[in-house]
Amino acid sequence: MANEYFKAVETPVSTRQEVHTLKTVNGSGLTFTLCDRTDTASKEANYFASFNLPHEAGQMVSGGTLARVKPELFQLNVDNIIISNIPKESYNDIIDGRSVTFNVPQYSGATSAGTISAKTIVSTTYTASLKKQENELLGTNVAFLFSDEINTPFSGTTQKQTFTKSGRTTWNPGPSYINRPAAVSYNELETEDINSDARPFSDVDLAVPVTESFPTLTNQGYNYDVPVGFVALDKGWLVLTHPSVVDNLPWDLGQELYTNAANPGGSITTDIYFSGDTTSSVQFVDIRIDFKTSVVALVFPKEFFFTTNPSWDLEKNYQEQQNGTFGYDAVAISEVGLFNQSEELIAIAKLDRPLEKQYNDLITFTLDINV
Amino acid sequence: MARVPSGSSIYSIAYLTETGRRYLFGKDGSGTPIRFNADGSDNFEIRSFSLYDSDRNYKTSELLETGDMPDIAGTSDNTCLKTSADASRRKKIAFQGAIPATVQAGAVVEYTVSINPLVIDINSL
Repeated sequence: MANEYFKAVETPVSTRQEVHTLKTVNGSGLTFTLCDRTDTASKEANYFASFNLPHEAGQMVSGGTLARVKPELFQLNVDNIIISNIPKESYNDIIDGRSVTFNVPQYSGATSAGTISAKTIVSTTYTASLKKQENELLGTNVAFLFSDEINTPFSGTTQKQTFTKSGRTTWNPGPSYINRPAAVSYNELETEDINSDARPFSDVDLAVPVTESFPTLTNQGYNYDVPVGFVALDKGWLVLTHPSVVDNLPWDLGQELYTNAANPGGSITTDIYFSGDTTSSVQFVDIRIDFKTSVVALVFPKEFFFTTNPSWDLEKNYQEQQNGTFGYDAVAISEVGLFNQSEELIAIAKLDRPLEKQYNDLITFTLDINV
Repeated sequence: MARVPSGSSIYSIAYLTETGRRYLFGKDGSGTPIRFNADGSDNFEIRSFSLYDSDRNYKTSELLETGDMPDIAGTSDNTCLKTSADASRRKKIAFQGAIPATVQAGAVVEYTVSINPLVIDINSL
């Protein structure tokens, strides 16, 4: 392969690499928009289709197969949702579905104008703690949102009492997000596990009203975790569905995104942000996925020391070679070209400064091609 | 006793050229990917390298420093797919050390490059 200018590279190595970065978005970077699927004159109603939510209540009935097998998903079948968009500049390929901590502005106390507080909402996935999950209703790359202030985690048993969840008292035990428990789906429970969570059903804060006999008359009790929303991890959207959160957002205490104007009366419910960093923020781990091919180019002594650069002293260095004295001037490498078998330029690397190479120098170039 | 020469390890990112991208994603008129040849060989496989000193004027005593170097096109976005327009490298550094035979003969020399061939008359140096 080698000729006057080309030398074979070492065998390239291809790898997949994930780069994780903790990100925080708040203030005007985090907006809230109310969507009402019953308001068919509003463009925001389209978002129900965007996120694969039922566009009308009758699209997902309580007696349907999905609602009976996974009644926790039936709790997403609500008329009003709030959506928040994570700016695309704030994440790369995907958001880690276990890592979202979402502080949502809420009225303090009663649902009326006054002081502002926040509910802390965190993400996890059902059945097992995963970076992303595929869901029958919502599609691929989702995680679900939960809040201790709405419902604490299911604390019964699963899989014929094989696993006990009694130690789970919070969705966010810390210190790291990876310690968050996976949510429990109804279909993880066998007969022996039904009603193993001891809390009274009347204490459960439901998003969609159902009786204790739903989905079956015999399986009564609190048998699945009720989500308060979900995250579209690859789209960068947070979707709040639970009325205890959605109906308690203080629109009148926010500001309009484009004008920064106050929103007296809360009449505007599109692109509203809140200036308080502690009451309105989202923190998450951004994942950037690199597919990298690393090429190693070895430059040994007595290689690559004679250049066609017209400013190089060709006559002097030519004489060095003729005399066999090898006192060549150094060359200054600034670019490395990578070629295929037909000697076509496939990739090129540019150094941040010229690198001088003497006749006897050894240089190893490690060149990464990222895709 | 022989001594081990000094060594350097350089890390850098290589940017795909238009040719590289074409072999990675391109198809021919019939819709067949052009990456692989009939014999199964891979047009995208990196097989060799060469070195260039395009940013050095050996008549000066100083080298360009970090931040001074002219960049290559198409690299403003340092994320995702790295691309660059096809580039012809003109100032090449010979791998095997041997200067072209025509130079050794002391004749007028034409250094073969992709475009704009550079002619050097060593007798005029």
